[in-house]
Amino acid sequence: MSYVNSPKVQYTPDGRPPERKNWRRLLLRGSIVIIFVAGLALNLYAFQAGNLFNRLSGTDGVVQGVVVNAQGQPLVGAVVTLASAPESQASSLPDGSFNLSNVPTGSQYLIVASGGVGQGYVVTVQGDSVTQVGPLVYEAMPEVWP
Amino acid sequence: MTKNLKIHRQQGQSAAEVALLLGMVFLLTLGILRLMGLSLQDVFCRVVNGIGLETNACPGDGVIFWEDFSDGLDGWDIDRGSNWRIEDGELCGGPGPEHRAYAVDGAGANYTISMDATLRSGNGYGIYFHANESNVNGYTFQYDKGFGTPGAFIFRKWINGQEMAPFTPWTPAPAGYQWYDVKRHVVVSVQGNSYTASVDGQVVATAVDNAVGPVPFFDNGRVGLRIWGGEACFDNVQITVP
Repeated sequence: MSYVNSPKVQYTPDGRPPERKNWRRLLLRGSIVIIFVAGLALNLYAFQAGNLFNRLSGTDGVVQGVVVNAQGQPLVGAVVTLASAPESQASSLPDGSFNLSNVPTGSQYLIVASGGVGQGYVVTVQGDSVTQVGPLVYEAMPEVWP
Repeated sequence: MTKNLKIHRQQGQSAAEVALLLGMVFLLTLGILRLMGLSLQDVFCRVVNGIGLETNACPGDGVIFWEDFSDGLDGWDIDRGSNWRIEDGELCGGPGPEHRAYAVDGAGANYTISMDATLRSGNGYGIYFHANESNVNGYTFQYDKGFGTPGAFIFRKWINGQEMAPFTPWTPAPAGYQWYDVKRHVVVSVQGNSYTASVDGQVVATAVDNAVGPVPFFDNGRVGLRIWGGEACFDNVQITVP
């Protein structure tokens, strides 16, 4: 390559060569800032709302209700759970009432089991508030009956 | 030419070559069969079935599981109950609390289950289908002496191990139905969400599960057996696909 055809360095008015923009570094720095801001916002939100895990997993609903038998009498000792969250369970008290916490929000299938047999009910669980259901009328026949 | 012939007649060379050649042909055949999705047993069974024979190892076309209990409990996963045993060539369970066992093969979506079953005592036996996990999600057809008088034929759903109330009306058994000590031929046909059960050639229960979310619906899974509060025996369990 001859001297005449060699590339020329262009100088800025202050006499220094222009800085090349490092797009990769800019992208990395931008990502770090965005992640930091998002994390900060999430933590502030979780701190304000209470349980971070439940907030993230959407299992922060509470369902309260009463279970009665076909005659309208309170059903004591019935096990209440959700099809989508069997780990959350509650037992009905002598007045038939139950309180099921840490359950997923949205449309859910609530199962009331007594005498070895379950009966299902579709309920809509609200987040950030207590969902009142029922009275749930339990009419399932026991597994063995005369 | 003469020299070549001499080399060719050296002792042992021919046998080794033939063995090598046969081995390569065998491997090549195995490879081709594998590519075609077949095993040596498949080929053997096609020949056996082709001449009109059916054995435990080679059931007929469409049979994905066949168990006559001649080799013990090998084909079964015992899930619950300590009193499963082979008795007179049949699988028997109970008496005692809940007994459950699942076939190790034959899982799927659409299939027909058939078997010979005898209730000896207690409340009844059930046939699981579309069942998953030990804490079962799925369905049962139940030959249910204990459900009212004189008993009933019921399809039930199981959710997270919880037996649910019948999701379709059940069929009461005829008055005076003989539940005990009669070997019945039971067939359960499962096609998508439609289920049909027959006993001794008579349809005794049908059901369709039209569940939509959030109500669980199970569209495939294993086949199993259940006995509760009694004793029952099973034989010639067969699962066939269309």
